[in-house]
Amino acid sequence: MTVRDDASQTDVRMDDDPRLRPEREAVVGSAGRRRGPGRGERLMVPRAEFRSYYGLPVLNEPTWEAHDIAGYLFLGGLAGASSTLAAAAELTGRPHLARAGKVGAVCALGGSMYALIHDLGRPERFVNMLRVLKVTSPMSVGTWILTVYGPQAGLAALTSVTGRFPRLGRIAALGAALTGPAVATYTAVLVSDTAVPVWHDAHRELPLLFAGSAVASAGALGLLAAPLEETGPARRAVLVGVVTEYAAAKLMERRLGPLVAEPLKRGRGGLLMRLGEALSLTGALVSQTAGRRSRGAAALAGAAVLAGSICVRFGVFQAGMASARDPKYTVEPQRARLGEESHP
Amino acid sequence: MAFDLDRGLAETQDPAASSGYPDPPERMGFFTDTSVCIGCKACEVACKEWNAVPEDGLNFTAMSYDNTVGLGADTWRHVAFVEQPRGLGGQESGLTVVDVPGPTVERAHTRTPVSLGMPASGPGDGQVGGVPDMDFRWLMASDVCKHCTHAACLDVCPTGALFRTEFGSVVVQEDVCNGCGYCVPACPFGVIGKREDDGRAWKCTLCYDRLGVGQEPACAKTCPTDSIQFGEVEELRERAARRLAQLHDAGVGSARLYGHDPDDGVGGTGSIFLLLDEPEVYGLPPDPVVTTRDLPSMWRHAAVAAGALLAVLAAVSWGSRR
Amino acid sequence: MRKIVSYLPFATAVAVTCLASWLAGRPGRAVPTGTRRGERDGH
Repeated sequence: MTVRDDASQTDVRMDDDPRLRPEREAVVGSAGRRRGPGRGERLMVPRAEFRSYYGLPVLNEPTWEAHDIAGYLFLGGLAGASSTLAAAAELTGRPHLARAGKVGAVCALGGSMYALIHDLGRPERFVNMLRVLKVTSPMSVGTWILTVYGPQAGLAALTSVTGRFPRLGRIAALGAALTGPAVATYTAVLVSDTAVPVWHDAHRELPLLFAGSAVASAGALGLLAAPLEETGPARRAVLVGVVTEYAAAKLMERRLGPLVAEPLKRGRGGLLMRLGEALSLTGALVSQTAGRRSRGAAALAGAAVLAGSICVRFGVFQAGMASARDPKYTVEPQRARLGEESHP
Repeated sequence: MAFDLDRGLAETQDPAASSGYPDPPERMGFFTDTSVCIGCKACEVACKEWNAVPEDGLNFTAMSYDNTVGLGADTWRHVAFVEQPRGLGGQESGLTVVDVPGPTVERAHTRTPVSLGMPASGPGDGQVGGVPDMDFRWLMASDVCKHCTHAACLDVCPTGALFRTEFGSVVVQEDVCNGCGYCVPACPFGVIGKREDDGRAWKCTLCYDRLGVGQEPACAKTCPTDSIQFGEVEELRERAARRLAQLHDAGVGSARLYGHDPDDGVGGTGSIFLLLDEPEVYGLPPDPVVTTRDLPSMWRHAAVAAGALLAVLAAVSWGSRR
Repeated sequence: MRKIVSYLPFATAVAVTCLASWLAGRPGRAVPTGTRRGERDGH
C-alpha cells in the first residue's frame, strides 16, 4: 500500500496491509464460550492496591548529578540574588556590602557555569545551547538569561574591585540586579518542567521556595562578608528569605498531598529538607539577636543560612530523584486523576 | 502567554503540519497489538541490528523472560513479560476428556500405574478428565517510543537536537545533541535515555532512515505475528478500534486501547497499543501528561517570584535604615 | 570516596565565593569614588 498516490511524496510501503488481515486473524481466548457472568470483565471499582511492572519506575531517572545540578540550583540563586542585593546596597550607600555581593555573585556564577557545562554529556558542545531560543525549554531560556546576566555581573565585579570606570560599573551592576532575579527563579521552572512527580506537581510553590532560598543565601553571604555597620539589609534579607523558604516548603508539601510529599519528608530528601530548615531558622534567629552586635555571630549566622540553603536545594533535588525512582508516585496520582474524571 | 507555546499545544492533530511542514505526508506510527505478541523479541533484535544500538547487558533479570528491563538509550524496543494467575477471556484448557469409552476407563482402573520418569503435570489424585480452569495467562507487550502529538522531550530540548519529522515522529539528531539530559526526566513514559559512555540522548527514530526510502521500521518488518503493525496513524486508530471490538466480542473484556485518544494528556500518541490489563501493569503511565502543558503557569509563577525577590531586596535596603 | 571527590568542585565554588566575598567586603579597603560612606546598620 502506498501512503500517497502522488508520486512526489515518499512512498512508504507497508507489509501489513489491512486487506491482508483476514487470513492473519488470531482471536485470543476464543476457544470456548464465556462461562458465567463477570469473567474477564473490566473492574468497575478502582483497585485499592497499586500495580506496576515488577516495581520498576515508569520514568527514566534524571541523569543529572546532584553535585552539578543541585549545586547549580544553589549557586545560581546565590549569584542572582547577590547581584540584586549588591546594587541595592550600592544605591543606599553601603559600599562594602555592595562589593562583597558583586564579587560573591561572580564567583557563584563561575561555579554555576562549571557545574552546568560539566554535567553535559558532551561539554564541548555547550555552544549548541546558543543555536536556538525556545520558550518551551526552560534550559534554553535559562542559558540566554545567563548570557545576558553573566557579562554584566562580571563587569560589575571587575569595576568594583579595580575601582575603574565607576559609571560603567554602575550600569552593569544595575543590569545584573535586574536580571539576577530571573537567574534565581528560572531554575524552579527548569526542574518543574519535567515529568518528575515532586518537581512537576510543585511548580506553583517551587519558584517562591527558590526565590526565598536565594534571598536568604544572598543575605547570608552579606552577613559573612560585610562589616557590621552595613549588614542591615543582609540581616533583613535573611529573615524574609528564610521565612519565605520555610513557608513555601510547607505550602509545597500541602499541595503535593501525603503521598507525593513523602520523598520530601523521608529518606535522603527528607533529611536534607529538615536539616536545611533547622540550619536556616537557627541562622536567621542568631542573625537577629547576637548577629546585630557581634561580627563573629553574624558570620556564623550567615554560614548557617548558607548551609541551610544548600541543604534545601539538595533536598528538593533528592526528593525529586526519589519520586522518579518509585513508580507509585507516578501511577497513584494518575490513577486518582482518572478516577476523578470518570466519577465527577 | 503570547508565544508559540499555546499554539503548539492547542494545535491540530497533525504534529508535522503544526511544526511547519507545508504539505507533510500522512502521520505514520505503530499499532502494537499485545494480544498476539508471543514474546519472541525479534523486534528488539531487529531494532538493534538496523540501528546499530549497542548491547546493554545480557542479563537474567528474574522478571519472567524480560532481559532488557525497560526502554532507554540502548533499548528502543522492549518486550515486557507479565505472568498472571488469571484466565484469558473465555479460555479453555482443552484438556477435558469427554468421550473416552466406558470399557477403556474400566480397564484403566484395573491396571497398576508405572512411572515412566516423565515430568508430572495436572492433578495428582489420579482423576482423569478433571483438569480445572487453566487460570494462568501471559501478557507480553513490545514497548516503544510513543512519538507523542505533544512531545515533552522535543519541547524541552535546549539545542533543537530533537526535531519533528515530516512523518510526525520525533527524532534526535546525534550531531547536535550535547547530552544535557533534559529530555530524560521530561518524558512521561520513560522512553529516552542518555548513553553513559557516549554522553548523548538516544531513542527510537521510527526508523526515519527506512521511512525515507519507503520501508517500514525494522521491528514491524520482522514481527512474526503482526503484533507490531506500522501504518498511517489515522488508519491504525480505526484498525485498533476494530480489533478491540473483535476481542470484546470474543469475551476478552480486559482488552483496552492505549494512546489512541487525541484528547489525552499528550494529545494521543503515534504508537497505539492494545493492552490486556491496566497500563501500569506493563510499566506504562495510566494518564500521562505532557509536562509543558503547565509551562505557561510555571513561567507566570516564576515571574511573580522574581518580581517579589526584586521588591524584597529593594525594601530591605531602602526600608528602615537603623 | 569517588562520590566525595565529585562534590569537590561544588565545595570549592562555595568556599571561593565566601572567601572572595569576605575579602571584597573587608572594611578599610579603598572604596570606589562615587559612593558615600554607609550609615550604621548595627546597634
